[in-house]
This record gives sequence, C-alpha cells and structure tokens, in this order.
Amino acid sequence: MKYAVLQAVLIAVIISASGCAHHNDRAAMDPRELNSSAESTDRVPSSEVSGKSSENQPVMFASSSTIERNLGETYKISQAVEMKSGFNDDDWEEEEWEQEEFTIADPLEPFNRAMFQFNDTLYFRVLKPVAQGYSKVVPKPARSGISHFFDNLKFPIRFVNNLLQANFKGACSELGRFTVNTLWGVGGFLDPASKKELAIPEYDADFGQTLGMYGFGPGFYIVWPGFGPSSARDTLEIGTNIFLNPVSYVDPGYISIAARAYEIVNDTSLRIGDYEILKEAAIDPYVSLRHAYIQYREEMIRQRKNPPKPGGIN
Amino acid sequence: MKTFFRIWYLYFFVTILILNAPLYAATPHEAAEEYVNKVMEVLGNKELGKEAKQERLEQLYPTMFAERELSRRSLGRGWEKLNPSQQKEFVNLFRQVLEKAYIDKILSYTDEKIEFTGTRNLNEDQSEVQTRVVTSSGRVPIDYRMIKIDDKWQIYDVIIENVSLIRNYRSQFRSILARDTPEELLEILRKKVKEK
Repeated sequence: MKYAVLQAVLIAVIISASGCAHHNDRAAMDPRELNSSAESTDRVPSSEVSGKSSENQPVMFASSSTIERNLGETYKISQAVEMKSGFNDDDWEEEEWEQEEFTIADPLEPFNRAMFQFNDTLYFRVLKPVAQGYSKVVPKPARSGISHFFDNLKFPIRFVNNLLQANFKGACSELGRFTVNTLWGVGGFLDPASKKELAIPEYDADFGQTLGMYGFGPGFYIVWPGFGPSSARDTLEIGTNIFLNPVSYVDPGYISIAARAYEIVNDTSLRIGDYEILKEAAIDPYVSLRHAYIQYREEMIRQRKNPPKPGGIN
Repeated sequence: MKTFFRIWYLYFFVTILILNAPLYAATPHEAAEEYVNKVMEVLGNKELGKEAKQERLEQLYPTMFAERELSRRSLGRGWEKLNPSQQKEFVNLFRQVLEKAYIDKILSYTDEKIEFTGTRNLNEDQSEVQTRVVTSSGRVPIDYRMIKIDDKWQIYDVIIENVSLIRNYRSQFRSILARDTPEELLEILRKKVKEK
C-alpha cells in the first residue's frame, strides 16, 4: 500500500516533469519560427536607405538582433535582454521584426503646406466637380476602359525603367501585357492580360524608383502645384514621364495637353472619395499624406531591391 | 487494494489527459477570418438599413480591435505624456475618429472580395495576417497586425499598400505633441469628432 502511494507520487512527478519538458520544447520551437520569419522580412541595413533612422535606433535594437542571428539556444538570452531593457511602452519601434520607418526631410514645409492647400482647393473647387459631372455622363465601364487605354500607352515608361533596373522579368512581363492588351484588348481599352487565364503580372516602374534602386535617397519633400506630393528625386520623374509618354508627342501641342487633362479628369472620376477619406481620417492631413507618400515610395523601392519571398508561415 | 489501483489508473489517465490536451486557441488567421466574416454578414444583410448596419458594426469594433494597444502605439512615446484619464479619453476619441472616417467607405462595399494570402508570425503573441482585397479595378494588399491579449487575437494595426495606419497616425501625433500639450491634442480630437 505504502509502496503504491510512493509509486503514484513518483509517476505524478515524472508526468508533470515531462509536461514541463513538453512546454519547454514548445518554447524552444518558437525562436526557430521567429528566426525564419525574421529572415523572410529581408531587412535592408537601414544605413543604406536613410542614415537618419538608424541613428535614432537605440543600441538595444542592434544587440538584440545580433543575438537573434545566432539563435539556437539563445532565445532565453534574448528574452532576458528584452526583459531587462524592458520591451516596455517606450520601444515598440525597436521590435526586431518591425521594418524601419522611412523619414524625409521637409525644409520647405511652409511652402509645401501652402501648395498642399492650393491642391486641396483645386481638387474640391475644380477637379472634383468636373469629374463628378463627367461621371454622370460616362458610365463606369467606359471610364475604366479609358483609364486602361492611357495606362497602356504609358508602357514605354514601365518598360524602359524595368530595363534600367535590370529587371528583365518585369520588362518581358510588361511587354507581354502591352502586346496582349493592344491586340486583344481593343487598343488597350480592355485588360485581358490581367484576366485569370493569362494573369501576366504588372511591374509598374518609374524613374524615381530606378534612381532609388541605384541608391539615390529621396532628398527632401516637395509638394508641386497640380502634381501633388513628391520628393527632390521623384521630381526628375516628371520630366522622364513626359519624355516617355507617347501622348506628349501628339501634334499640335494643345491636343496633347487636352489629352493629359482629360486623362486626369477621367482618373479622378474613378477615385472620388479616396482623398476625402484620407483627409477625414487624418488629424493633420498634410503630415498624414507626407508620411504615406514616403512610406509607399520607399517601401516599393526596398521591395524592388529585395523582392519578398512569396508566402509566409501559415 | 484493487479499488486503490482503479483510482490510481483513473488518476493516471486524467493526469495524462490534462497535461496533453492541446489547449485550443484560435490562430490569428482564424480570428481575422472570423472578424471579416462577421463584418461581411452585417454588410450583406439586406434587411438592415444603413443606420442599423452602422450600429452593428460599431458593436463589433471593440471585439475586433485591441483598442488600447492601437491607441498606445499610435501615440508612441507620447502615450506616456497623457495621464490615465487622458489616455482613456484618447482611446475613446480615437475610436470615434476612425469610425467616422471609414464607416461610409465600409458601408459602400459592393463587389470586393477578400483573399487571405498568408500569415507571418512576428513573435509569440504578435502576428501579421496578410490579405488582398480584389476589386473590379485591381488588388489592394491589406495586412492585419494582430496581438494576443488574454488568449484572444485582436487587430492593432492595419497596413494598406505597405502604409501602416498606426505609424501614419504616430507621425501626425508626434508633430502635434512637439508643439502642443496632451490637453490640446485631446481638444483637436474632440473638435474633429464633433465637426460634420
């Protein structure tokens, strides 16, 4: 009897110990997941893109990520580091899986804010009413067809920049899309290349992106009247876009300008409401747009440099 | 003695069952899918009017979003500058700002389809559920950052076209808090919520 009780206690201890071991196993599995997910994020050394943000990162970020690199059993150490320096309310920026935040200098802020206001007024007083009237007359399928048509014409911009970026896959893909959409898409009004049967992926590319890929930083933020948010680097893109857009070569010149204006009205008619939401949701619309612009641009360039591996951990 | 062994065996099996029973917790993907389905259900319900739909969605909001986490991260380091009652008010006001801004867009939902494209585990209790909204004019990648609070996965950030919602707000709050006091920030939000 006594022996049986002893045995029971012993087995209970063994079982609970194995239970703990089981838990430890799970804990030990997590860092591997963590590690592989960290790998799949393809973090670019921040100094490459913007030296500024890397300076702001506290030392803890570096130390923790070095530890993460030679993982194995170091999970516990990194956890200890986290606890010691406290993953507290202050450092969520430094969570090691977090992609760096892009920033842009804005020395022209007073001018930019004035231009932002100008564009805002231009949109609400001129562009929006015209686009609204236009969309009452022209049905949506026709408008998206026209939008496809103008996009198709801009093929040289995408093609040349894909080549400049040495993205031959992208260039071929865009060439394929242009051929298919011009021949079977009634001169580009339809988009058969995107249909399920073909599904040729788009590789949008522009000159600002190309420069970014070769290491040009965005410089400073600038808002152009009519064109909207841009950067010193992306401003160069306006010129090349005119140069590579067939619409610019339409003669006489006023027809070319009218075509551009028409394209803008048509595109706006398909996007009424987007800017309104941005403005409505923002506490400071100017800062919100600046932030969104630079994140979107720089992230696109980052992904071009290091294409993300498809899929994730499921 | 026999009965003792019977009890002992019972104890043995129960212990094994307890120790090895997989603790059921929904994965972030399942949680996100559940939230999306719930919203879709409300939007697709033809018996409900616009106001009734809006009311239902407002009820869903606190169950889907980790509100405090979302507010805290949106303020970043500024969160510490607010005292607890200001923080509470901020959470409340911020929710109203978001609801007001996005409700019309969500209610005007027509032909969009949502595809789940993958999940990225960030750490033990944070995860990113990646989706794609397919519309007639193209695809928009939308990722949901989820956090596990009390064994429940909730959304704390939405990333549209690689632009993080909380980071975007953080940039705005940072520039406001650089010149204004927390009280003035709350006043800006109060005005924002009131204006039509």
